[in-house]
Formats: sequence, C-alpha cells, structure tokens
Amino acid sequence: MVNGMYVCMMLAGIGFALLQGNGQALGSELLLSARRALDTVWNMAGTLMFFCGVTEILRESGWMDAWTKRLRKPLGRLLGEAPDEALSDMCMNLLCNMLGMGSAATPFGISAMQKMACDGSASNAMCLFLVINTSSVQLMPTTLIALRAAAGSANPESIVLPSLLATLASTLGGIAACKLLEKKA
Amino acid sequence: MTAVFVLVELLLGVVKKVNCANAVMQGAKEGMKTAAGILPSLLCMLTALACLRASGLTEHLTRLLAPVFSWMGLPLAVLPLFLLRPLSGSASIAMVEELIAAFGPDSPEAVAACVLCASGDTLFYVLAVYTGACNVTKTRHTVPCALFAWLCGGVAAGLVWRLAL
Repeated sequence: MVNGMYVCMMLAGIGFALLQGNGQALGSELLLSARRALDTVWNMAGTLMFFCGVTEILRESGWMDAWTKRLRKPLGRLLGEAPDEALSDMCMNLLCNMLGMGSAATPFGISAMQKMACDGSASNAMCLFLVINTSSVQLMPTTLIALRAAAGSANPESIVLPSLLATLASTLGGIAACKLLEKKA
Repeated sequence: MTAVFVLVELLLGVVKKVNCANAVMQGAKEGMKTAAGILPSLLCMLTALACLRASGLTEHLTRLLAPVFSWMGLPLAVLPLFLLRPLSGSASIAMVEELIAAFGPDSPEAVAACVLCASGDTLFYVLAVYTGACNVTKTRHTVPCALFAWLCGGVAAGLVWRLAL
C-alpha cells in the first residue's frame, strides 16, 4: 500500500508539473527535500536519543512489569474473553506504546494476538485490542517533540497535553464504537 | 515538562537501584537506530510530498476538499496530514515536517499538525501487521470502529487546538 501511495504521489506530482511546464522547479524542489530529510533526522536525533535513553531507566526499573500486573484486571474486564497470557502481552504492548517505544510494542501485540486463538474471524476482544492499537495512546509524542526542537521551537513540549487529550478522545471513541457494534454481531 | 519527566524517571531508577547512566546509554543507542531507521522512509515520503506540493496538486486537492473538512475547525493546511495519517506513519511525519518548515515550529498550523499526528496511529499498517501475524481474515467491526476513532481524533484535535491557541 505504501508503494502504491508513493508511486501515485510521485507520478501525479511530476505529471501535473510537466503539464504546467514547471518541471525544472519541481526537480530542484525534489533534491532540496531530499537534503531536508537528512537535515531533519540529523537535527532531531539528539532529542530522540535523549528521550529513548531516559525511558530506558523506566524499563530497567521494573516499572512496566509492576504496571502490567496492575492493569491486567481492568483490561481483562474491558476485553471480556481474553486468556490470561494474552492479557499480560497486551498490557506490555499498551505500556510500550504509551512510552513511545513502538518497535518494542509490536512483538508483544503480535504475541497477544497469536495467543487469542481464532478460526479466521476476529473475536470481540481482538477487535477491541486492534482498535485501541490503531488509535494510539502515547504519553510523550517524542518524535514530534524532537521535530519541533529541531526546528528551533521556543517550547517544543507544549504539544504534550493537547496531544494527550486528542489521542484519549480517539481511543475512547474507538472503544465506544466497538462496544456498540460487538453486541450486534 | 521534560525536566519533570526526567526527574521522575531518575528518582524511580535510583530507588530501584538501576544503573541510570548505563540505561541512558543503552536507550540512546536504540534511539540512534530509530533515528537512522527513520531517514530512508522520511526521505522517500518527504520527496513524494514535495513533489505534490511543488506541482501545485496539494493546493488544488486541499481547496477541493475544504468544504468537507472545514467543520472540524482545523486549519486547512493540515487537511493532507489528516488524510495521510491512517495510511502511512512516515508520510505523516514528513507532512508535519513540511508544515513546520513552511509555517515555523510554533505556528498555529504546526501545532495543529502535531496534535493531529499524535491523535492516532497508522491504522492500516497496524491492522495489516497484527491480523497478518495470526491469520485473521475477517476483522468484523474493527475497520469501521478504527475509522471512527480516527475521525474522533480529528474532531478532538480541532477542539483542543482552538482551546490551546
């Protein structure tokens, strides 16, 4: 799908520019944006590394395991029918996502899905878990903070609270929709 | 905010007798990999977005879709980001970077872009990875609910953004 998107965007952009006769401007814009990609990553790497570094303390302190134990019951009640081993994985997945460790979260999520045996059709618990995951619950949007810091923002973290409220609203909306639709099936 | 965040984690680390300096270095190493890993996809998507923008297509498309979008209360400039958000994570980050570069990091447009970007995740990618891993073929009500959550995120981002200004 990403490939389709990329090809469509490039073809449409180049085609449209050539039709209007400003292919030259487009060419230089392309090369400029390629350089900007490197500048951006270079400038944000420090902030990103710093946040990843500090978050690692949290992981090594056993905070995540403690919260996994604490979250398992309420999550189990929300999901209803998930087996216990899947619940721990789901808690870890959600906690990793909250802390912005997306790549650490994915294996837990996959393992949780695999532990919820199914016959090709997703159970209510699986649907709800997927919806929660697609709507993201991140406490610190570190990449976005790093992007703002890289561009010289006066207060890069000012987006934290508004972001949290927005992502909370999307997650709650998704949960509500799930609860409403799962009864019909 | 950052200071408090770091203080809490440090105190927790000290209480739990974690080798904090070592942990930070380990984590930073991961962060370095993440940053380096972002670069190829960011380059890919940033050039594609620049292509659309330089050709004038982004502007046309935005103007065309503006009436459908205006009720959400977000600035028009973030409309392409709203549409890209569920499709591709790196394209969304690239779009935020485009808006930051165009309007400045503290501009209303850039703030709206960040809040909108943070309000959701790469819906279709997440679905593909998780359902692919466990042979789920029928996702039932997952997609409509996830899309509803995406819409909620957009509306909430609009509300919060207007309050934050």
